[in-house]
Amino acid sequence: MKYRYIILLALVNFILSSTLFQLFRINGAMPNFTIVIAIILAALSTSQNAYIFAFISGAMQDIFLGRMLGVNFMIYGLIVYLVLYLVEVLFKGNFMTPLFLMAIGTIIYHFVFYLIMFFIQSTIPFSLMYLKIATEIAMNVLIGYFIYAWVFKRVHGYKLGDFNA
Amino acid sequence: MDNRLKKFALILIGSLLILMMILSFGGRDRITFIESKLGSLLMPVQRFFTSIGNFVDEKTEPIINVLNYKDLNENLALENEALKEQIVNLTMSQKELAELTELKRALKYVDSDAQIGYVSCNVISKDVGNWFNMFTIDAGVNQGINKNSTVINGNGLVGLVYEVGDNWSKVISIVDQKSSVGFEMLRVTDDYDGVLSGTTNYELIGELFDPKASVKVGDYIVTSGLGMYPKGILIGKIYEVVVDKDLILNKIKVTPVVDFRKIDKVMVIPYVEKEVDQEGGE
Repeated sequence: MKYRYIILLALVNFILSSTLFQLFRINGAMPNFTIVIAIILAALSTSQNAYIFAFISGAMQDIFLGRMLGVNFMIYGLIVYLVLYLVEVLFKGNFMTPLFLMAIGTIIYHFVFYLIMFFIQSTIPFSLMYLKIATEIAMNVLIGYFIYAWVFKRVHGYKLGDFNA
Repeated sequence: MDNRLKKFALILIGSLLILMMILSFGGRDRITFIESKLGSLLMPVQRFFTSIGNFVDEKTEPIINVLNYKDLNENLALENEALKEQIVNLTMSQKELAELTELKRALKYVDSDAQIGYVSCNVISKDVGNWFNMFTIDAGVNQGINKNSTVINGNGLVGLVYEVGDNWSKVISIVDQKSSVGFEMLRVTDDYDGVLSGTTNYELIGELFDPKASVKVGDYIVTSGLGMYPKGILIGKIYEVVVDKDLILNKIKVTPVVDFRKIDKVMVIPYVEKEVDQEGGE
């Protein structure tokens, strides 16, 4: 995929997530499409594409809707870095792979975010956040699974989890 | 060597990012030219999609809430009765106020609470993450908005301008944690003061400065004028008073009058630094 399409994808994702997709909030939480797309790019496209998408999306969120610069930029970059390591040891064609990656990616995001907020003394008690985080993990896993399965079929030419292919 | 260089680059980038986070925390007084222009470029597209979202939300809300209408009607009828009583009391107060204003004019008293102009604008995008409740509006420096300007809507206090671009601004809402608001009771007598902070779950928790303050559920609170916010803006209604003997100060839990899930239009009162007048008016 050409870099300009990745940049366009990051822009479209940011615009839609900050506007139209706000309609899909459940329990005050909405799915994080940046995590979902960054993981899919890291697993099924190239590392460069995944990093470009993660850094542009992170920078946009930090500039327009963040409390400080660099937080999302760093966390999304870190998620891609870790997913690239994980996909080396995981079988990408197993239907459990996207479920695991989406869940672990979302957990890493919130864990690192919590740590950063803790160090700047701006953290929120976990008791107030667990329902939102749990809802986000569930939504990311569900949405991520379907998008991953669709992209996997387009890239590899057979269905995700089809071991007879 | 290649690996060592990679590790060094990673550590360097990480350190730079941490430095950037520290420097930008609390909101910058001025954002860069590129950020400002990029925001102005994205603004029309975001405004378009937000208006579609608001339209869909408006049309689907009656269908989603159809089962709650009976309760809503009963509550509104009760509120209506209470408001009628309030109108009678307020009309009496209004007459008194008119007389006092006339007296003030006759004595040439200096008015210190001159009302400042509003800037009306639209909410164009909302926070993508789930930790904070920040959003952007389609007005900035060019429309007269500056950092720490107060953001309100038709119902009451919404938040504070965090960073400002040429034609857009970033707003932090009062329901965000660490967003402190000085408040007082909306009462004629027993004017208790305190400080409120957000909880991210669309509610506010406050502490009253007076340990012997007597407040009750259902009382309304307004901004006290201490801190960034101007005096007298409605914040919310007390729904729980926490009386704990171990705590020195009494705590209150407040439901904001503003529905933060559905803010689409807001008004901004530009921030004016208060000058301490030692002499006072005579």
